[in-house]
Amino acid sequence: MSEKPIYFDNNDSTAMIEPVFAAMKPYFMEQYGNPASLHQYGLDAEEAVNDARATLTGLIGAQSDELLFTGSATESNNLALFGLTQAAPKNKHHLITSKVEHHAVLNVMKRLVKEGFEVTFLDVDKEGFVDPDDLKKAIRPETLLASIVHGNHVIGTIQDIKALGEVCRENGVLFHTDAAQSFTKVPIDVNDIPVDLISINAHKMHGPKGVGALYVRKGVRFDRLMEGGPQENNRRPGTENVPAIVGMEEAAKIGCANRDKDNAYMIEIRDRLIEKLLEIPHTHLNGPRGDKRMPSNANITFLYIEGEAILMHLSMRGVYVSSGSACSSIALAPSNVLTAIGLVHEEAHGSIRFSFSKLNSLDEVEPAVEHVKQVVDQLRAMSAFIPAEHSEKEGAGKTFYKKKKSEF
Amino acid sequence: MYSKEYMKHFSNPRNIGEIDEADAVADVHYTGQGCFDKVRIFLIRDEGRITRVAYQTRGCSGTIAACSKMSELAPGMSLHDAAEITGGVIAESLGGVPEKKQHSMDLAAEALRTVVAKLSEGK
Repeated sequence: MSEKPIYFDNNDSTAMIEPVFAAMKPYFMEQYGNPASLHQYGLDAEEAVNDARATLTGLIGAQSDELLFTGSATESNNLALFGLTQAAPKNKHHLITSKVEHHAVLNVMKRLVKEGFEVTFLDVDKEGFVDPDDLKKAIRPETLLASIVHGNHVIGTIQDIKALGEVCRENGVLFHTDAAQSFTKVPIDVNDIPVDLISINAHKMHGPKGVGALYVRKGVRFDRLMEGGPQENNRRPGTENVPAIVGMEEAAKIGCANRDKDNAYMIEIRDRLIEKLLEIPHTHLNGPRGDKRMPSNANITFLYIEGEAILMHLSMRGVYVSSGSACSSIALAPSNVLTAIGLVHEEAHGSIRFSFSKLNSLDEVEPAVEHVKQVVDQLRAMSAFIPAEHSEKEGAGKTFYKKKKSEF
Repeated sequence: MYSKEYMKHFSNPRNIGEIDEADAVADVHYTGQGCFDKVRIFLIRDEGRITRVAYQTRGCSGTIAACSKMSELAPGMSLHDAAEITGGVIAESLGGVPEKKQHSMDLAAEALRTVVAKLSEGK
């Protein structure tokens, strides 16, 4: 086991940082009022929520009444897609998305198909990019909206949402993007990018879990999904999670203020790790290189072995990553993103995502790579399914028992 | 989430490798949804009883642990009894496994059944 755990799973969740926790603390035990209450405690809580709303909208160039708080980016995606489709005129029954979306979009779309909507799932290229021309070709008179992820959660592809948004705008189609991974890391200015709805959350940027937000451009018709009080401008009932919202504000402020510095730091870790891991035979990088890749993401396929087994061995050694393997998921399905970029199932199953934050260190790369090399060697030595031409090591795939029958 | 026995067999699998002069060899792969784990199993018998099982695998932690446990359970058994080992028996011997790993248990049992069947067919 590593002396100190190496957490390379920041695309799943990040550690909260001290200033965020400090900002949240008073709202648990001191300023615990309900923002809907009319007394001073309530007014203080309401002010905190509205300040957070103003800060977050300010960071994306929006007006302060164009954002509502939710419980997660998943909820934001659900709210966006169900909210728009419920409010849509009957003749707008066609939707567009891509094959590399998070399940919080993909599964909503699948349910909307069951409810009678037609959905086009756009292909992507081998690096995971949606071609704006493909989007244009998919648009019909009855198209209501397109939803394309901004920063991909599996392979780090950063879509050109400006070009995609322009196609939508020119054709009178609403455009939603899931920016759960990219928010703070990749700038979005809604005055420059024609996007109508944006889903974000806090826990991917050193904020708390259990809070998200949805930007909805003024004038977009949108139905609420739950009934209750008039919170969030009558669009999302339920008492706001004030401490988490304050934490989200602080995390976003810090993230955006330090964007360039933090990105450069993560990119150095990312690129060093990619370079070292690709020295292992029979590996390849999934997703693009360079500035079109999320600074926080590396995704490598290790051929001939199974990703969940790699992940489990690394976990026992104190190195925490995630895998695109079907055996990592309860549904036993390989990552839709990896198959969408053309990986065959065996390749998808041998894929590992390493994801970084500013709390990681370049010093963690070397020990992590050493652990990965040892685990890959160990698992390949067990595998009978390495083609002879790729079995450069004597004994690969045929170790331990060489005894003849007579020796037992 | 995983039992000590499961983790013991996954992290230090028993009887991994090939047997040069096995009485029977079989390849099986999971044919259910999504998972593509593969197992090659080698078996030696002596007077109707299994004396040794070895295997190689491209599989997840569950498949590795299940094959390891199966390779310990089978020796000493008659071919008939070995073919009766189910995924449930292997799971129980591992101290229970989460539902999502039951397919691995079934795969290890299927590997054993398949190699026994080959032997019975005289292959």
